[in-house]
Amino acid sequence: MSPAKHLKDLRQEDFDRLLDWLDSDRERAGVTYEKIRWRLVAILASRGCRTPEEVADETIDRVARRVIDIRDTYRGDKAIYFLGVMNNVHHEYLRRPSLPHLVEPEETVEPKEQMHLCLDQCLDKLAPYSRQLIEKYYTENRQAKIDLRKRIARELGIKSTTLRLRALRIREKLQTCIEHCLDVSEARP
Amino acid sequence: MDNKQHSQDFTDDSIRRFLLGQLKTEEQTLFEEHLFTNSDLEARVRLAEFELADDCAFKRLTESEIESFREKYLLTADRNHRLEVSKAIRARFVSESVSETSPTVFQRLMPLFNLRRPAWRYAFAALGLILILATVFLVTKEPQVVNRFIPERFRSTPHASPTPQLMNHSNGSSSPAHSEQAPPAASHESPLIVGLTSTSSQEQSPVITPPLDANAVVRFQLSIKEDAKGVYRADLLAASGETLFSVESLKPYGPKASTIDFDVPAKDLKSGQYQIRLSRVDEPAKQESSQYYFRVQ
Repeated sequence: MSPAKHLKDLRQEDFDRLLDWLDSDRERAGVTYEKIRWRLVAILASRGCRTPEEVADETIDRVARRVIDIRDTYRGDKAIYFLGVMNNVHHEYLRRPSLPHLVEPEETVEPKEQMHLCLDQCLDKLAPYSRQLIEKYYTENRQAKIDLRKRIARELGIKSTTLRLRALRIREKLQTCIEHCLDVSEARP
Repeated sequence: MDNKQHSQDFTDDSIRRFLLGQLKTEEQTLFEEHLFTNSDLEARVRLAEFELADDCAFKRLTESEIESFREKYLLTADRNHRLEVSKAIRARFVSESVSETSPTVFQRLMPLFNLRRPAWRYAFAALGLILILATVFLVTKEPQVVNRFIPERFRSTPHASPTPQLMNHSNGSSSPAHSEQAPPAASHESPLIVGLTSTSSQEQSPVITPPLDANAVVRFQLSIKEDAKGVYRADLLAASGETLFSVESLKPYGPKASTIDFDVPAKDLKSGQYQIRLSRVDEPAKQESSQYYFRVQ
């Protein structure tokens, strides 16, 4: 999702000013922006905020509006500034009348057929070793997770912690690949 | 490097608890500050998000974790997408039979019963020790309890005491005859035991009172010569000489084979004078018989 999509009420010039403040290189600024937003959302969710994305966007919005005032005087980690503003926005959010709960996704709903097709496609794109590792990692569900990891790690000649990190990185790649695949399939007529 | 070091200050468990909103207030504040300044910690949290989604899809979360997962984790569209992918992965790699036949509670309890856990080893060792001590205690202190578990054929033969009062009194010629007052015994209890010697005369014969129980037995222990091993026949005769009861194939027992047990039904013993005739039946040359006298009150 592009940064501009998050900030509905923000003027383009404020947003550009924010990116400039974050980094003179626009691409790096975009990466930094996404990281900051992800952190804000993660923290707000952990605090139990029902609308973490909304509060995070409001935080970024406020920072963007204030950049013009602080950019010459602010010293220190810029990300920390977002944290301070987020605390204020979150406090205001907590004082608001409670919003109705979001509709929780049905856990019993099976993933769509397209999801399975995309998963197969993305698995096929993996390198043989990664494919083997991820299959082993996920196949045996019955065994206790820790025992399973130890056994697979032994088979692959790596440490359990290494196995976990490698498997999760492959999982991350699969997520990106599947989301891209779903976007492409949705875009098709 | 420093970044990485600070990231290691937070365990995988604390990252998981952060994602489930289960950190204490002070832990949460510290974690939030580090998350904003430590890219290594951020990378670990991102990976932990996938792991948590997988754990939910693979039904590895506890009840409280599932609740926290719904309340604190599934609050963004990205995370919902992750869960969807995790479910697809589970459907792809885990066959339905495996996934559906392993209930969550069972999965959670299985590690508890893993016999390789040290706790179980200690428990079994302690149990074994307790069993050994209990067995030793039973054998030494409560032999009658142990006796119950030993099959009949392996038990040592219960020999009646060779020194009942009647036996002692009947030996001496100067001893007055007296009656033995035995309590009525049930059929399954020990019989009334009366020791008799063939040297006693009819006048010196002991007086007994048989048990009233219809199924009771009076055991006469008949003294014979030492080491007179053989097969005997015993006859109970009334004063009139009529044979009332007989048993064949009796054998002596005891360390010197000097006693023969002759069990007589108590109901056959009415008031009066009786005689027991003991004769050897295995060797015709030794067929002389011995007489034993007693009186029933």
